[in-house]
Amino acid sequence: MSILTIEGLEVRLGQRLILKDVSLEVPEGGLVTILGRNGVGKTTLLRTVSGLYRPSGGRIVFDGRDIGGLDVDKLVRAGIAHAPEGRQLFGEMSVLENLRAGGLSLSGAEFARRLDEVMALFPHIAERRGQLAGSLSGGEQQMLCIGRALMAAPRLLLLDEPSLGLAPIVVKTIFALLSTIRARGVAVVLVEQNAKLALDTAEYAYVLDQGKVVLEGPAGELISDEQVVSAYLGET
Amino acid sequence: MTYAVVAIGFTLIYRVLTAVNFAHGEVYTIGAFTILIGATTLNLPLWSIVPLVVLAGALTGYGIELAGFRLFRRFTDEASLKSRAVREATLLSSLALGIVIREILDLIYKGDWQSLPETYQLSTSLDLGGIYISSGEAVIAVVSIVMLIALQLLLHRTSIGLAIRAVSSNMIGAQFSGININRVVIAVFVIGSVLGAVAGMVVSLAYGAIQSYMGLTVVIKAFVAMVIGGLTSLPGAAIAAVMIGVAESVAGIFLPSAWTEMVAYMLLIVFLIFLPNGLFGRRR
Repeated sequence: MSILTIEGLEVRLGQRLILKDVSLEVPEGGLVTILGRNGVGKTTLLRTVSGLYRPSGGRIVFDGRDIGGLDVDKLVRAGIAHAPEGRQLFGEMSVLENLRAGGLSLSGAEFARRLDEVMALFPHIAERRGQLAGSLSGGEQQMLCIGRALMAAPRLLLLDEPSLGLAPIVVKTIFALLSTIRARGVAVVLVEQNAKLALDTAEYAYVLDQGKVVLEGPAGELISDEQVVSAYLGET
Repeated sequence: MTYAVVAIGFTLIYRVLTAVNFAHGEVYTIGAFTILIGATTLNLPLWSIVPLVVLAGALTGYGIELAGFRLFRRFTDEASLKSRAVREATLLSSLALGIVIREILDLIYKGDWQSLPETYQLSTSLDLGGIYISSGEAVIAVVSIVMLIALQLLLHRTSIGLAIRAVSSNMIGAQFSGININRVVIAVFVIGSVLGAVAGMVVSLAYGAIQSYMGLTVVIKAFVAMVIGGLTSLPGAAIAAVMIGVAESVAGIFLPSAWTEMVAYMLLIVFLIFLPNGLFGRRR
């Protein structure tokens, strides 16, 4: 059973055709990665799934429902959370306020429960709850960004470049958390520059090039195919 | 104090949208005219006009957002939400809306100064230990302080306040947090415009004179106050507005009255040269 199915997705931004024909599937509780060089449309794909961009063709089915064209806030309520590229935190607000903003759609009791869960997942962040988000280190900001997304109690988490600009040790911590997040029944779509890391973590991978899926397969098979890796993913 | 009471609503809208709402002056004028119509045409007691002023402010704010701002916010990514093009387009559209409202009022009232019936005016003289001020001026001062405090409480203690600050801080992040941007922007316009209309109401109660152009000079002073205050700081804008007011009345003692208009802009130039971040502005 898939939580997310995309069929023949086409997205235009202004005059430019960014995604031409993308089809993919994310199993419930699964971890799927989307790879590809800069500018092939990975971020656009995630932003379309989360409702920021409207598709010009194709279908996006989430949890059995066609969601193409719904607004972001409705999709967050439906269970799609997005930890965006560049983190997009509220820098001049405290850590706790960032998390509260992520859980605004929840009722009081549910919110408290959720907050405890997220705090337990990121003890680092919990210690700094009164600090301004903008004053956190890069790794802490990334954790807060994921934490804020998880506050909405999602069933699908879209992760855009979580390793960007972070030290390897921090990246390791964050990726280790992904299995804990999945253990709670949250499916993850991971967009990563670091192909090796992504393939090590994910079960299934799609490779995007010029707005199309050019390759797909179980992550373990792709990583052993040296030619494929160097052709589409560069040296990483 | 007149400027402070207007600058607060004006700065709130700028802070969230980084867009200047020049129609804010006309919201102030509409607040004043609501009092006038309520008092003269409808003969209502003052207490029953106050909710009408609030309603008029809220509706005007909503209208301005729909007609002047919503249309320019069609796209949802960061490139377009706070882009220069959107900022400039809304600056002009709000200016245009302001002109339309102003000219409609002008057509109806022929640009004459209308005076509020004496019974409605707050002009009793109050003795504050040797300093005499009129009750109307005291009301303006109290209302601006109450507005500032209420707004700070709203922004920092309520969930709509949290949503407003989130949108103001990062629109993309706010959307991904499940916040409905349009709803928050409407709330901001409604709140800001209610404050603007109440400002128009208390000022006309204090001075009794109402005219279709009254919002124009005031909104420009509010703009100057916002810049001096640091663009995004509500208390900064209010303090700067008081400064401008005091500077103008002091200058009035020494200079011919036609020259006092210059004082605010002189202050602005001094600030832009020596303190370009304003009183409470963040470094950028």
